[in-house]
Amino acid sequence: MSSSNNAGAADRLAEVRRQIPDSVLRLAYHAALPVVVDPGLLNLFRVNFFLDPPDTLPFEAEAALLLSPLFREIGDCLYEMPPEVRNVLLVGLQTSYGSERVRQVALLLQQYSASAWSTQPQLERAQQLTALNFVDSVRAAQWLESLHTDTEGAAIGQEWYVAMRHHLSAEPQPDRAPREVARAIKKLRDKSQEVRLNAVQALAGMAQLPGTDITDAGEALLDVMRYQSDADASDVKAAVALLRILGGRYAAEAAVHANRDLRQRAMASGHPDTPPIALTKRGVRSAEMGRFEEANSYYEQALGLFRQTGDRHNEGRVLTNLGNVYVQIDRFEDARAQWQAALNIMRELDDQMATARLQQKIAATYQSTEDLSAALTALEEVVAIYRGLAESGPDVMSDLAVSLNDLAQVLNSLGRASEAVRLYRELLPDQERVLGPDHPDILVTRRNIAFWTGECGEPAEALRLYRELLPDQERVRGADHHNTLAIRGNIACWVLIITTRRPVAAISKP
Amino acid sequence: MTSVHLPEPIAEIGRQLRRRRLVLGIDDYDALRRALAAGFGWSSREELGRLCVALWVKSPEEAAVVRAVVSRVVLPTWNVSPATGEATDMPSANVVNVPVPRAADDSAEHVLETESVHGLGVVPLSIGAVDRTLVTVPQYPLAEREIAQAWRRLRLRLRSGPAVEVDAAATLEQYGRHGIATPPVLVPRRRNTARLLLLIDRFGSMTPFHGYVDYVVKAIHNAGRIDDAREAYFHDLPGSVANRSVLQQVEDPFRADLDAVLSLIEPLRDGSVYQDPQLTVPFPLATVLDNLAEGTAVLIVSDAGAARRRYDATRLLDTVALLKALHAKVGTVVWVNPVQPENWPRTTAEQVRRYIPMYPLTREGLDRAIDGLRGRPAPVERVL
Repeated sequence: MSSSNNAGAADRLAEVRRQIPDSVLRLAYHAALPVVVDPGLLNLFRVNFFLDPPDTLPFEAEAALLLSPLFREIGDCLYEMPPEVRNVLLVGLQTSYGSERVRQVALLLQQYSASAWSTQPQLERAQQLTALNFVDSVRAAQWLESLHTDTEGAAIGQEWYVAMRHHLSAEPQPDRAPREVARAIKKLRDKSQEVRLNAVQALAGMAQLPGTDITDAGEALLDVMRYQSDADASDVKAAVALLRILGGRYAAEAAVHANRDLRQRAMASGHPDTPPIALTKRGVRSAEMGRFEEANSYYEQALGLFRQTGDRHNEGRVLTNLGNVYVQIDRFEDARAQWQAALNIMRELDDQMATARLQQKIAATYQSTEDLSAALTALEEVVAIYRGLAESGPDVMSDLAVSLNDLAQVLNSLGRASEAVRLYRELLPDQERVLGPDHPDILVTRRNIAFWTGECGEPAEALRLYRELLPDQERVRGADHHNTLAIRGNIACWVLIITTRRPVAAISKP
Repeated sequence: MTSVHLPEPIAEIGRQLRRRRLVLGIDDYDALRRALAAGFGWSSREELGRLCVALWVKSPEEAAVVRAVVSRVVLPTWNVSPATGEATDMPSANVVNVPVPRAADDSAEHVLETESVHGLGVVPLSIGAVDRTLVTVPQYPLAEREIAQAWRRLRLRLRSGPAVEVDAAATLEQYGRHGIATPPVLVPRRRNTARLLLLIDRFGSMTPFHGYVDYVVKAIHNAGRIDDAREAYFHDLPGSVANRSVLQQVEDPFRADLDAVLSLIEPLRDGSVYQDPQLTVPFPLATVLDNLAEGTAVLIVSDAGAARRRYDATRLLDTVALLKALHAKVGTVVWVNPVQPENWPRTTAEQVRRYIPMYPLTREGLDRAIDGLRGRPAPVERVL
């Protein structure tokens, strides 16, 4: 099998796994056995193997699979899988379900072929021969040879005979993944670059099989990366890509290797910024000028390069920027999708500040679409993160206060304003400890407590809190500060409400 | 009331059949209990399968499913006891008392069951075995019975054709008026004169749904009892709007809808639909439109780009033009989408459903679609 084909298998499977769940990929293991499938055969695979627990799939899984990048429609409602992908999936079938399932799939294919393709003898025979080959490869070869002397052979045609001979000779007898992995690791130490590349790509393909562990290959892959002098060698590049997939320290070493190489090239070319960073900067400039499509284009290019080098942090940042652009053009769902992707990266990197900021943005999109329960969940996480980091300085405390404001709004919309009061009261001692007693943010928090107390239907208590706040406010911010004037207005309103029993809605907001 | 526990193998057969849309009732279980008590179905797994088929199924397809399910369920070791000839309650344990001796033991039931098949030629191409546990009958989200039940609600019952039915009231009234025996008054039978046009999208992203859609159409014809139900097929859309410049008049390029230019879109008349699902026999769309009788219900079956999760402004433009042409002739046009609604957002389907009621091809979706075809108003965001 050629190395480029193997590379295609890994990339294609990675792409497919972004689109369909692993449970649907297990249906694809079964669909890999026939030469081609049609929707009817795929339906029978699901009906026979995915209706009863623990493996259950809905009807929609069939269309999701046929329309995924795993298949190419070749006409007559037939779908073909690239051979290299097929080989990897057959390993998955053997590993996950064993030889008995391979035999059952072959038998089902045989039964189906006789009824579905009786008017297409070449296809019918090809499918039956493939089924037989998986159950008894010797007899399959014998049948093909006997066709030479048979009248049926003349009817089916010489071209078909040659094609099937080639097909059978290339047909793998799938083994279980651990054995395939062990074989590939051995080949990683081969002298031939092509053999090494083939081995890396085979491992890359198997790495895409859910539940298949290729970590054993990590050290051998690091050796391929470290000890080859040419960083551009195809086996080294492939090894670096696979190390990233392995994650953990393997990914970290691969990223260091790739970044070092990229920076050396950038310096040599006279441009201090690496290309993706330059593109990101251009994107930011375009967005600032309101050229959002152009900004998107720059960001997408940068994103591709950061992904190539495995720079997850910058990948997350660019995704955040993309989300910012979508918000500018009111595409909140698209923005949320980008931020969610960035959030996943920041969580993976354990960057808590970035995680909190992204969750805050995501919560804002939920608020704009009035999905309050989702907004609440997101903001609760934000507050929890900032609380955990609060001791690290005034900036975090300020972020915490702002996130509490958002949370209070959502709680109030859900009829839970009293919880907002409780949260602000809990914030106050932390603020006093970190910021000092007279910090303006503390005055804002006290004002929020007074405001939400009033919203909870306690006008007398709200009035008392505003009156307590006023002298401190005047002392710290001055008598003419706009917040001081607003507090005077609040006091006047509450006095009016309490004395005239006017509805609370008449009060001005802080 | 005492609860009755089914023996596990029978309960498992029931569960597996339910997942395959064949739901057994108490009477079905009772029939099996009586037959087993009378000594039937004990000699082999095949015999039990034949008994279940005889008792429960109504079609060859259901028979195949029952046989496969009985073949794959693990059966207990039977304890033979003398026959009493009387029906008894089903025991709840896995060990079953058998009233008559059985002819053969099939203890190795859990392994693949095969039988030899003799092929022709020097070396047979066949694997030489069949697996009785395998089902070769397709299964879709709706049973034919459910589809038929849903479509029977699309009714316009009028008397037409030859007078063959006695009108008892009119006959008595005539007898009372004349006072002498007169021939009975005959009237034509009531028939479902509802008219239905199914416009069905084929190939491309609809290919994975062909089997399901064909199955639904067949069920409508078999049991829908609609006098005039016909299909016309197309790929993506029957035609395209010649004047694409309408799209350039949408001021905001980031808006997916066509609300701002709706009034500028002309009804679609140029284009072709096909008489057959293979799209080999075309006829003009204009002919279909011109022949649409008043009161015809039109059902469009298409994924509207949702299967591939795509948004296509030109497809939306052409769809709106087609809908305008249909609305100009008939009042009730409804869209059924075989893709589940959670996959509609950010596709052409999401925009199409703003202009026409669109429902998924599920039981609830079909019920609501038929409500729409019967004239029950369904709100849309923008009326065309």
